Formats: sequence, structure tokens, C-alpha cells
Amino acid sequence: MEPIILAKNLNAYYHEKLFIRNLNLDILPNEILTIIGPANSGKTTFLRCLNRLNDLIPYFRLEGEIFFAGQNIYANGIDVSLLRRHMGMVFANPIPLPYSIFENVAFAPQLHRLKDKKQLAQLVEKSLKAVHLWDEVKSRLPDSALKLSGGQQQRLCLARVLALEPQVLLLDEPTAGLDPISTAKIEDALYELKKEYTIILVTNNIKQAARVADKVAFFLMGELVEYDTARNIFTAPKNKKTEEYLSGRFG
Amino acid sequence: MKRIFISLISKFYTSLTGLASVLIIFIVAIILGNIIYNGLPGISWKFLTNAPETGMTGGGIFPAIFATVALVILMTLVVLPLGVFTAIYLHEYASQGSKYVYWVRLAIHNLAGVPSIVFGLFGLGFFIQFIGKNIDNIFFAHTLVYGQPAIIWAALTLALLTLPTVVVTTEEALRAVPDSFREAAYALGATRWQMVRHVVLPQAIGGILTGGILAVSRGAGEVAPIMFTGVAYYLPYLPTQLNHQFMHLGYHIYVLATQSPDVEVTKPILYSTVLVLLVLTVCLNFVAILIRTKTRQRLRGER
Repeated sequence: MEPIILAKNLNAYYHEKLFIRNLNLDILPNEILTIIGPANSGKTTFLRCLNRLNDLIPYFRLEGEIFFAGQNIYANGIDVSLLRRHMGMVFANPIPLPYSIFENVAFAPQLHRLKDKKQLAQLVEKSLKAVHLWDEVKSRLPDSALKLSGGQQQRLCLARVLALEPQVLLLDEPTAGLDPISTAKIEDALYELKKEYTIILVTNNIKQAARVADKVAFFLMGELVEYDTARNIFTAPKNKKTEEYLSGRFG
Repeated sequence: MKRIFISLISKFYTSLTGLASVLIIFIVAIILGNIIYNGLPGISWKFLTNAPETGMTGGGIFPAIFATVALVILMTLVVLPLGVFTAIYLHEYASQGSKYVYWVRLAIHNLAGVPSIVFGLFGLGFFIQFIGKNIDNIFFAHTLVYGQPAIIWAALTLALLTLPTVVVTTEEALRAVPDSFREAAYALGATRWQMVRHVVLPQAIGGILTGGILAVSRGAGEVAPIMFTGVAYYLPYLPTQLNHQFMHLGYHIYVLATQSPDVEVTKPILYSTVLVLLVLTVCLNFVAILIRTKTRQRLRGER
């Protein structure tokens, strides 16, 4: 199978300090790749390279190439907002916009000129159902999204991204601040979403990686230490560092 | 002995600082009390809706109220877009730390420090003598249409005066919107303008409006900038065109206090006029506070 995302010789600098070192990674479609590793290992930086969100940060510089569906996303003339519509991102903290629940999910499609009311309502319903939130909020769609609990807000943010109809989901520790039940609901949603999307999940939670991952990439100090199927990583890691990290000896 | 001395000093400063704060309340109470006590009896429907009569010694102040409101509206129409767009550019578009942004900020802060009478002179020299004259020369065959004091020039001068207020408060409002919202919008494929329009502005609108109203309440009370640029002692008509002169509450107070033929007769009218101007300004400030609280509630999810 052709990889959907291909990173070649990536080096990322912030204030000329190296944050990602010579990274090569290929990601197959319809898989869940989880990226694990201790703090400051470049996980989030890598994720934010994929939708070019690091472009916004002054003094950030990237070398190397990232191909998405065969196209170098750092080439000249790339429509960055179009790229970001294909790469939906969910952040560690839920960031509901100060609008209603409905408007939050409808936000991106409306930005991209989906005017048809009926289509929009269908898209909102479908997205909320996909994250198992529909039953909880269907009676109060016009209420402010800020009234939802933290777990509901994070699922709302995931639904908001699904309404973009992206090809890849970039999830940056989406359950970091959530209770176990909310976490389980999001993980359930991920299983089903895998059928339609390629999912890249950054997580600090090794158990979560073990539960949902097809592939696991272990980052350490900006380097990709080991990249393999979840089964291999968790049962027979080849690198000593990976084994030490998984057994909780550092990080 | 030493302990007693120290505690005496402490008590002395407690009283001193307390007294200073009491003094402020005292002064405000005297000013307001005096104005309300002397001004309230003169307020009537007739006073609010009629023009001055018999050389300012009778009648009402309607033309001044009307034109003050008209002037302030005109000023707002100019200063709000100009100030808000400047602030949006400085905070959302320009790359931070650039030389250009530094110079614009410096210019705005200097503008804030210019005495208001200088704005008046600038308005006379720039808007009337330069722009107005040239409009007349080009479009009106050298007849006097815009090359004279007029409400539009006064409004533009006031807009310049209040521009720093609007820019600074708008920038503060934009700064109060966390960057995580900007990133969330970008991550959803928003362009920069969509991000500003749909995510940042709705959250900053309370602060922006507060700034606008602060500018309005400042502009409503300023007399010096309009003295050379459009205000009139007395006019038999209301300003219905942009090149009309106009009467103004603040200037009317000045006129009543200094140019009256009979001081004793105009005194109650003067008090009532001051009261009207004060109420107008207080109302505007009150609206500003109201909007701010409303927006804060909305952003916290309490409808």
C-alpha cells in the first residue's frame, strides 16, 4: 500500500535549537499511528509540521520534505488552508468557540461555503454521532458550547474536525485532561473513525497507545528511536531505550 | 517609648491616606450636588426641545443637544473603523517586533499626548484651509462650500483626538483573546481574515465597543478641538448638511459662562446645560460598562 504521509529527512529548529533530528517516517492510510515519548521529544512539533501550524511560530524553521498524497506540502504555491482542511487537528485542551453547539460543528463547513441548511444539519448530526455525543446534546444544539463538560467539549472539538471531512486526523494528546470515561468514549470513536481516516495520535499514556494503536513510533530527544507495529513494540521492542521507556524507567 | 512612636506614625498615615480618599468622594459630591441642586429645577421638556431665545437668557438648548449627538455620531463613524482596522493590522497582521509597527505605535502614543487645542488648530489648518479649500476650488468653482468651519471638519478633528483611545483599547481586546483560539481556527482551515472575522472579533467586540464608547464620551465633552473647526455661538437652524456649522453643549456652556449679556439670568440655564452634558456623558459610560459585562457573561457561557 502507498503511504499517505511521507516525511523525509526532517530537521526542525526553534531559535536555531534542534527539535527534530533527521526524521524519516511513512504512514499508511486507515491506520492509527500513535507517537509516544517523554516531554520535549518532538512529538507535538512533528504533528504540527503536518498541517503547517508551526508556520505561525516566529523563529521556527524546517528542513526536509513532507509528502501528503504524493504532494510536497512545503512546496511553493501550496494552499495552506486547503491542506489544513485535509489534516484535521484536535488539541490537548478542548477549545470550543464561544458559539452554540451546532455553530461549533458547523463552523468549518460554513467557512468553506457550505450554504445548504439541510446538508449542514446532516453533516453536524453525522459528526456528533461519530464521536458519541449526539444523544447527549441533540436536544440542546442551540445552547452555548461552553456549558458542556470538559469531556463533552473535547468530543465536540473532535466532531468539529470531522465536519471538515478531512483525510487525516492529527490528535495532540486529546485525552490528556479527561476522566477515564470520557477517554474511553473518545477511544471508542477512534476505532470506528479508523475506517475512514488515517489517525495520528500523540499521547503520553502508554496504555492508551497499547489499546488503540496499529503502529507505534517512539520519539526521544527529537529523534525517531523505533517505529513498528504496536504488537512488536509492546511485546518485543528492538531498542533498549524503547524498552526502558515502556517499562517506566524514565520519561 | 519607641513602640508608641511607631504606632503613632502608623496611625498618622492610616488617617492621612484615608483622608485623601475621602476628599475625592467629597469633591465629586460637591460638584455633582451643586450641579444637580442648581440645574435640576431648570430642566423641563421645553428646555430640552427648544432653541435659545432672547440672547441666551431664555428658551432651551435643543440645537446644542442635537448637534452634539450628530457630531459624536459622525466622529464615531470615522474613528471606529479607522481605529479598529489599525489595531487589527497591528495585532493580527503585522509581524511583531517589526520597525514599522514600532513607528505606528510611537505615532499613536504621541497623538495621545497632543493637547486638544493643538488638534483644533490642526483641524483648521489641514481640514478647512487645505482639504476644504481644495474641494471648493476643484468641485465648486472657488465658492465657499467646504472651505469653512463645518460639522464634518469638527467631527474629523475629534476623530483624530480619540483615535489613540480606540486603537489602544481595541489592541487590548485583541490581546485578551488567547492564541489557542487562533490556532484552532487555523487548524480548521480558516484564512487569516476568516480567523479574525469569525473567532477573534466576536470575542473582542465587547472590549472594542467599550473603547468606542470611551472615545464617544471623551469626544462629547471636548470643546477646544471644535472651537476653530465648526462650532457656532448661535444658529437659527440645525446642522442638516455636512458643511453646516453647529451649536454644541460644551461650547454652549462656555458661551453662557463668558459671553452672556446678563449673568444672573443665564446662571440657571448654565447649570441646567452642564447637568444635561454630564448626564449624557455618564449615560455613555454606563452603556460601556453594560456592554462589557454582557459580553463577559456570553463568553463564560451564561446567556
